[in-house]
Amino acid sequence: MEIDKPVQIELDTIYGWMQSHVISRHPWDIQSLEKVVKPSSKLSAQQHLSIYRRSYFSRLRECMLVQFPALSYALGRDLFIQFTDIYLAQYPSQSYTLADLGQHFEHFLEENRPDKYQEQKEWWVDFMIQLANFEFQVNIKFDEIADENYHLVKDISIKDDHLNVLPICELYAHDFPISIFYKEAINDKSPEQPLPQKSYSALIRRNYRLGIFELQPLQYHFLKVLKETNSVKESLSRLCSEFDLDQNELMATWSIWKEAWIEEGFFIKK
Amino acid sequence: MKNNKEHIQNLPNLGLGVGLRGEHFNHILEHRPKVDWFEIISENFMDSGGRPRYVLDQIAEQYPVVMHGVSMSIGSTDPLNFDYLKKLKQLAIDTKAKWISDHLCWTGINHINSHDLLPVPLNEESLAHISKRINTVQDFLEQPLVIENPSTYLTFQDSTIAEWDFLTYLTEETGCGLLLDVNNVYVSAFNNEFDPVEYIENIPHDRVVQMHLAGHQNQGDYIIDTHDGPVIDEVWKLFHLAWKRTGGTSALLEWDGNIPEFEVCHEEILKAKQFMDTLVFEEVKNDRKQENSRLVSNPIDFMVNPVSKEFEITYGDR
Ligand SMILES: [Fe+2]
Repeated sequence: MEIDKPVQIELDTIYGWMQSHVISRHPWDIQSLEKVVKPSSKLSAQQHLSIYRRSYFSRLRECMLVQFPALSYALGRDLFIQFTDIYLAQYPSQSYTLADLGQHFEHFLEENRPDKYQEQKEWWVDFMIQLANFEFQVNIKFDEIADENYHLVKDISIKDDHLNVLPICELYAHDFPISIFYKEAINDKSPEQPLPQKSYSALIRRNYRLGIFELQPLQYHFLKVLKETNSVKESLSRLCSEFDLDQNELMATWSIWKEAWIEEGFFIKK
Repeated sequence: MKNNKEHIQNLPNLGLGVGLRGEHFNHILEHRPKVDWFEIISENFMDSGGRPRYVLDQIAEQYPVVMHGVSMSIGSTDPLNFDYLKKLKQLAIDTKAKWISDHLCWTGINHINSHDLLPVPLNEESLAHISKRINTVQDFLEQPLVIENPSTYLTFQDSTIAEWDFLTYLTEETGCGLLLDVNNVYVSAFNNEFDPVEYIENIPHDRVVQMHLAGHQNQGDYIIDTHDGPVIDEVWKLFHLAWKRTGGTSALLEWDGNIPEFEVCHEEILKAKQFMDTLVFEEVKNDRKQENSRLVSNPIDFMVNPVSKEFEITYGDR
């Protein structure tokens, strides 16, 4: 950069210069520093600027740690921070809110997976990516705009056609027990990294609070159809035909599910 | 502009307030503490459809609320974000906010947000640029903006105007109000080697709407504005001076790192009462120094929801 004092530097030139020094991962052109920033009696120009640079990385790392507590536990803090620093360089925040900071992290991990050029993919990488996705979903659902004005069903004798699921009820099918791992990690139970195993879960929000249900495969498929059709009857009959189930047995199973789910405040009145 | 000036000068002194933080939601809802007012971080609530907004709506019904933002980026050369401003305006209507503040800073250019309050070169060019933008924002929001002095860590070679004069000119050009962060004056004065008393003596006292107080960390050669502890005596002295010069304004404690129980935060700001008219120190509280290279200015605790702490209902297998 050509900087000749005392000609005043355009504002956006200074900003562009400073921004690149604050957010870039690599050392800068130190020559021009003192032409832009005044040294003080205690600190050089570079030391003054470094305060911003250190704060930038510390602040956004902390933020990512808050948004991905289970993933950072799974990867280990140091590795997580290494990934975070590269992520911030590739996807610097473009949002006015820090709530969006981790929004591309899953995609970034997918793009930069360490087994990218290997024929045989490593399953632990898939675990981390699915965990990243789930964890960010949790962040989104917590603060998403959704109807919270509903009547929770408390009476187990309610007719099936009056039942509906909560407005926020997200269903997940994972190749690992992601939600169990997540719950244990955030509750400081130090879970071990799990082996591949299909798992199904529901993330719900009730009265502004989040909850996670572990589901059986059939329950997952039932709820999926129920969300789509808003009809218990339709969902049961589709389940029956798709999984070739005995109708009487399914009805008996449904009455157990229904009672348990109503007890847990899973349904709202239509 | 004349209207803005009058508007600013007629804003009420709300008393001693506390910054609303997620950590205190339950305490506030349960105990309804006797707090004069709350300051909210605008960005934490403008998109919220979850519990933060639900809690805020209840608080706004019972307490006066003031909005404090960190992402307007009034000093930037990027275009103003009118999508953001629209949400800001709506939140102010919804919460009946007494005023809206943000910082004399830029947060990024080329659409990048550093999420930091970066310093502005203080000269004729930036003064004209920022005055114009404040006027645009004020026209859009249909109310004057309140501008806070950020804590700064460097001085530009191109700065030709003292910050107190710069703020004075801004108020003259736009009719905006000032949020005087007394701790930031102390921090910036230390880091950039100017006299904090001269600063406070020279700002336009009739435009100060609100004051901020906070704790910081002294690293020896520089100070980081960490908002993570009690206010030190030197800052209380500056507060006392600012109180005398302004005749008293709304005052608020910012506590964002190592956030203690609500009552501890509240008591810290109530100490301001003993420094309004006289300077009485019960115990000497000087600069705190912490050996920690991870110190963050403008810490993020108040800008991200620690969602993992918000699970009330988690279930086992079924
Ligand atoms: Fe402040």
